[in-house]
Amino acid sequence: MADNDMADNDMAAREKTAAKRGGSVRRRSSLFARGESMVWLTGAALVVSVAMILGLLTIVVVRGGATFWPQALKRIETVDGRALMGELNKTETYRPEPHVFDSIPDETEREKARAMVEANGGRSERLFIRTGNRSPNNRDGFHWVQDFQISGISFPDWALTIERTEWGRFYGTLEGFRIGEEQTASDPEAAWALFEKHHDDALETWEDAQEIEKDDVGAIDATIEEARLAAKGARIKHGEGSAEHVAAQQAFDRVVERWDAKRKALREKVEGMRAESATYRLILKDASGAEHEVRLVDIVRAYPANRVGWGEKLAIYLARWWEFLTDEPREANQEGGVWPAIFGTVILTLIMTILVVPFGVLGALYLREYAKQGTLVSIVRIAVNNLAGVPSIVFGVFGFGFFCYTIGAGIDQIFFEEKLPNPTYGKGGILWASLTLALLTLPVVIVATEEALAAVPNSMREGSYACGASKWQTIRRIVLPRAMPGVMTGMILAIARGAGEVAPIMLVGAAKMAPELPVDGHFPFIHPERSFMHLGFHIYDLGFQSPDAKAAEPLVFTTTLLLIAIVVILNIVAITIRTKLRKQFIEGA
Amino acid sequence: MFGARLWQFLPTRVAILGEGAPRFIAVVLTLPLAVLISMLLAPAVESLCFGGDVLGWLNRGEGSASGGWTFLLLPMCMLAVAFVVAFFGGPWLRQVSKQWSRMQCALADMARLGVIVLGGILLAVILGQLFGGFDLRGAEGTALKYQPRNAMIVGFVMGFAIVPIIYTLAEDALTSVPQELREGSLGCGATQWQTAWRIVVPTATSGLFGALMVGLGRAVGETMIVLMAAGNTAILEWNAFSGFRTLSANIATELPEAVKNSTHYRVLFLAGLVLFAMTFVINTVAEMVRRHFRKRFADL
Repeated sequence: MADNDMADNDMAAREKTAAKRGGSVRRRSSLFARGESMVWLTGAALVVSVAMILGLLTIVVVRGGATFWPQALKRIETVDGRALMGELNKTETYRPEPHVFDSIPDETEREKARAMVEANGGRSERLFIRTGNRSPNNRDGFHWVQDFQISGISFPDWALTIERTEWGRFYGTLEGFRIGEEQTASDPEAAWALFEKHHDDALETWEDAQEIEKDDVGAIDATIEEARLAAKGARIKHGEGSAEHVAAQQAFDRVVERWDAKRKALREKVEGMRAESATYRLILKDASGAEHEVRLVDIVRAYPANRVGWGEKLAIYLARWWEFLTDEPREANQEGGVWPAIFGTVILTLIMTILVVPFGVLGALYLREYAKQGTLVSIVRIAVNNLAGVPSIVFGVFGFGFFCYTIGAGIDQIFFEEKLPNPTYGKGGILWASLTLALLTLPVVIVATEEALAAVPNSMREGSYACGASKWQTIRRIVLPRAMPGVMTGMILAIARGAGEVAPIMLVGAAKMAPELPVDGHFPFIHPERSFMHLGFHIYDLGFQSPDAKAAEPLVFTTTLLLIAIVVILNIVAITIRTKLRKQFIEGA
Repeated sequence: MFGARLWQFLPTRVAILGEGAPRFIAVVLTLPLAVLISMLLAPAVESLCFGGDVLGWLNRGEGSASGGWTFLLLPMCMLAVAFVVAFFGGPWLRQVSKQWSRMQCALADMARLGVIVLGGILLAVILGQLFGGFDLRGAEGTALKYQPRNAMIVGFVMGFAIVPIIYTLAEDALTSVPQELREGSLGCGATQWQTAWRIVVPTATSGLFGALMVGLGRAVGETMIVLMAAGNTAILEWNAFSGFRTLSANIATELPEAVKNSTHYRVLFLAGLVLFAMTFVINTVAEMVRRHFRKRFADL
């Protein structure tokens, strides 16, 4: 038998070498038989697949990475006398309709524009400019400019890009600096120097005020709320007007009285701090020449876009990335950072892993080690495999209907009666989302563990039995350690699938904006009922539900880049642990 | 727009030029070349078929319909001609080519390719002219509207998303074909391609079919791609360039807003059930086929 195999191999090898030399060796192996063109086709298919994946990564990395790079500020004057200033977003070639030229008032200019388009073969280029300066009266932060409309482009020296806490970016030329009603500088250099001097202080005072309001006043509010709930709980439990209810009500009144005064004092202090820091203002002129005042406390970051060099640009770029990674979002998620979303994604994935791995491993252990292999086990296996193919949204529907509305509502009835009708657990939350995702990834873990268990050689089990070990001892000491790397593989696959799943968690707890993290400094520190932010949902929300979708578009790519990076990091961590485990068990065994 | 036309030039790169180890590199290099060629030729094709502006043609109904028909029928005509050539020309060619030298074979193959490509285009143009009278774009009194979020794009992206799943499962199926079968075939004097096409693929058919079914099941339930790229219009049209929505996207958008226990809420749960049933059937069939396949190997 072995000899036969070897002869076959020899022949195959000879055939291969003959084919390689390219001679038509025998009549039968003509060129057609080799199906050369088909081989090229298969190769081409592979290349196309790889190119698609590389293309996807490149688009995400390039567009996502370029979002934060500070761009020069262009001031564009048009033939009809308008002026725009802003960052160039993109350019586009298109075929203008004849009536677009009617927007040009001057006859000679119109003819010039027509000739220009004619010379370009009937095509025109248009620039998409981010002009910013949004305000309650001016909601559009973007403008199209056709190339035949442009009469002049300049790069003003003291053009400032200002990132504001509200209403997005402001573009304007620096004119002066004002403290209170008094103009302290009226030339750009001096104003810029004053800005750099006062900006940090003003911001700090403002943030201190914010902190006092959030922490101290927040704590007082929480105390009052607690007392109110205690009173309500006493009323529900002991009835209206009972001794307990009256006592609780009196305690509540006392609390309100005591803390209200304190709250008032704090509020006054906060207002004072705010008023003081708000007196510092920059004076700017927008493209049309109108004067604007911008309070220093509204400015997150400002830079003279046409004056900064490469080093400063790089510093701004990195600072923006840092802000993106560590800050909370502002302005309907379009500005600021995504820290809550990163946190939510990672916590969600961790809780999911903690839930799914033990269940999956125990289930697989029973299926592979204890259950009698028969029809029933086959059916269970088919069911598990089927579960892997069920669309994620169905899991979402299940989680929504079962966890939130059945179990969650039940918990509320029993434990949080006084908060009703406001649901505590009877709505989407991070616990329910993790449970849903755990269900979703359960088959992955079961299948991977089963395969790992099957790969442990039977001789090891038998050797263990022969030494007198019981079945459980064998599994615990011999089989499981050996199968551990396989279990980790299952875990990695589960993480990869779970972290990117958006559809189900949309239904069971992901929120557009969740200011309170599920883990914080308030007792009991972990709040599994809170809704959370998730990067995947954040991408969807940014790109498709934000009020100013055009401004959000670059951020969509940046967030996607971040999500890919997080999934890769989670995977790398898991793979490292697996390698370590493998080494440990193989050396130990 | 240019990339979509790539397939037209796909056969050029399967031309027989050389073989050996650097073949794959050549394949890699031909891809950008093909893209370049299609970029260069696309404006010509565009002006020939659509009066120079596909979007304008689609939106405003400029020009005649025959260009669109030609374009639509091209792949089918290509396939038809290829089939005819293979069916009638194949056996004859095989007989004749027995005594041919390598060069002659290559030339014949090149000629065959040329016949298929030119014949396909010719057939498509003729049929396009014939069908020119039926202008699909005006079929329901309104011109076909091109919407930036449309079914074509979802189809493309979905294919993209499902490639890895099908790839993994298909590779599994191919590797589980016993090595002895391959060696036996090679030993009988078959070439690599003959072994792959006549021995390995048929043995792995059920596995490949299973992979396809699982990919299909995944596509049926995919939510986010549809939600983002399909425009979510509730009105369905027979137009590949307009938006649509699927069961899963419907659930995702409407369930959070449905009142608990209302009719709407229950209908959405029913939609979930339908979705589940669809994938359940597909997956069970795939699983059974896979089991069958595994049993066959047990016999080998």
